[in-house]
Amino acid sequence: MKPLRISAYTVTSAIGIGQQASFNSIRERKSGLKPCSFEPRLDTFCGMVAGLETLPVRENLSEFDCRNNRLAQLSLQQDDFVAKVDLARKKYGSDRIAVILGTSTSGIQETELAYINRDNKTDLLPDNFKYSATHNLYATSDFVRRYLGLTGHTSMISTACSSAAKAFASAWRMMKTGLCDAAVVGGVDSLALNTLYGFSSLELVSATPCRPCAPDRSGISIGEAAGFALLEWPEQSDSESNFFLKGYGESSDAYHMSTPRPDGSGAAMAMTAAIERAAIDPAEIDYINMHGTASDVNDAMEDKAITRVVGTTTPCSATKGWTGHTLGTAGMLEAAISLLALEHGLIPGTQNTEAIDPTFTSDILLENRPAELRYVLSNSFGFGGSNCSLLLGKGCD
Amino acid sequence: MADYYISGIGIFGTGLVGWQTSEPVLAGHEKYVFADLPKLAPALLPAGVRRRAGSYIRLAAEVATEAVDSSGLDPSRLASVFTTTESDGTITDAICRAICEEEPVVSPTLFHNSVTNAPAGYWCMAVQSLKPSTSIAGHEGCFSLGLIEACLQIETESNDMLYVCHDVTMPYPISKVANIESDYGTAMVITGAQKKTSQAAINWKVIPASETLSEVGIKAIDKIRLGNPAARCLPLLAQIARNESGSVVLPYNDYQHLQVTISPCN
Repeated sequence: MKPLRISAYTVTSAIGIGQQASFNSIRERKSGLKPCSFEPRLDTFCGMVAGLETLPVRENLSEFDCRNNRLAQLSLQQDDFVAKVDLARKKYGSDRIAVILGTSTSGIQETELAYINRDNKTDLLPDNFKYSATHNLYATSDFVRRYLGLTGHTSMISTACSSAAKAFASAWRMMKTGLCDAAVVGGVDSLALNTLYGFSSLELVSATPCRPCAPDRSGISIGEAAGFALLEWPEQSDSESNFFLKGYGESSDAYHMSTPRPDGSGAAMAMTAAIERAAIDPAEIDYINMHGTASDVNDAMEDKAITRVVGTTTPCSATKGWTGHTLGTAGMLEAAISLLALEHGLIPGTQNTEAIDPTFTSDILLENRPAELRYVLSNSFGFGGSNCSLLLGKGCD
Repeated sequence: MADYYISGIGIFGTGLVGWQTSEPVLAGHEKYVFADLPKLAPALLPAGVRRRAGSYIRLAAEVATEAVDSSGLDPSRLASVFTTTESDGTITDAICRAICEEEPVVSPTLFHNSVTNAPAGYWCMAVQSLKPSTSIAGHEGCFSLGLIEACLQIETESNDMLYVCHDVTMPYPISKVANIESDYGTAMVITGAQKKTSQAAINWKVIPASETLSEVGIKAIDKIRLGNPAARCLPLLAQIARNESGSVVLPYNDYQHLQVTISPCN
């Protein structure tokens, strides 16, 4: 496919606010996972972004104020992202830049708080509860569109943990067909009791910081993150960014609502489709950022999928030991980590993990490894069997 | 862009259950008759899933089955797009009530059914479709967002598409803030080439939101249209039902509408 330039990007998660802080934590092997102060009743670790409590959304958008949109705003404010979108807006027009994001639960914490504070006689939710601008799935896309002064196509993809990765695919289709000239893609998901207790009920949450691909891995740690990327056609872009979306691949597992197909064939299909769209040889991939949730089944099936698609010598790692599993925005967060790896020539290892499951056959790194990288594959697999892989690369030939 | 073909339709709304019976009503040939919505038990879903699934999952399965059956196409070969504004409010309500308890206990089944793409997941499992599936959320323009995504996948990836747009009512008290008056869903099989089952060729373009939105022109049906964001597509279905060339204007976003042109295939 025709590559799209990633003219700008930014990311905020438990390991850092903005690109540089995020990369520093990876380089210095500092995990963002801490005992879950967000919900002390749960014995687990979380990747929480500190300080959101005191960072309300800007005044003229105050009806959108909630944890999810605060996190979106904090992320938008980093890495000159708004200024770069402003330049694109002046060039293309505000209605020619699409906003396509991913989320799993949007600002659901607002509804949780509204239920906690509901009238104990009538059950009525508090008057100041702004459901449509906070929890409704579209709310964060609407907020980001307004924050950036854009007036065109605005959508929210919600396919569980593949959501933000699929936003890149949807944006490519929009741009390829000329529906827009540029796109802001990304994802936002924030901590909420729904997901913390929900994943706990499925016995998928680890009591310790998650250890992807470890033989005795004990489940996921939940995190929160927001990230955004500005996509443009290279010939129209004034950006000097040398990073490109080279391919995407999507597939459905058609197997189970909350368990991936154990042989990894659904995941492999998405990975293969991304590689074929990029028209490269699987052996050219220099690094694979795994979905790597540290759930027993995911990591095992993903190892099989990787082995099937690229063999056993391509360096891989799972970075959720740093950030936690950020659900609907994992695809964006890990695309950003992949871009940091490309930019700095550093393959992240697998944080928290001391040994790799001996049954695994792919080349999963424990330690960070300096390496000149050209192509990186980033995997995201979600509930409902929704798989998406992104092929990111340096250079546009 | 070339035309797209509506090659199968499913519909489920108050007094509009099934395309065959709804078509003459939407066309204005038969009188609209109000009837309470029948209980849904889509045979597509395995019994265990069906028993635990709420109307958000059931309604999607029902209309998707109708559209695909009438298309005559192999459902496992269709990629899919699902759109909604509210996802599953019944689950949101149940989980939010549970987390208010001193020791919250969330049902694992409810939680794994709580993802927006649960209807898509069950659909893909039921028909064994390994094709891409995208679930999208919008406000007023949710139908247009999904129609665009489905058509662009035809355009760029040569897939034939199943498109499902639906929203279901929410329980009290969250019903007070979400404004969905009755369950409604539409499914369409959209193909890039004309099929024997194609009823209409459509195309669309983005126009300014200053243009007036289309109505069906039948009071009771326009009430359904305005009572559920997924039902904003009813003017398009009515135009297809009338079997005449024409165009309709549907909501898309705050600044733009979507003008859809329709021409009958027979």
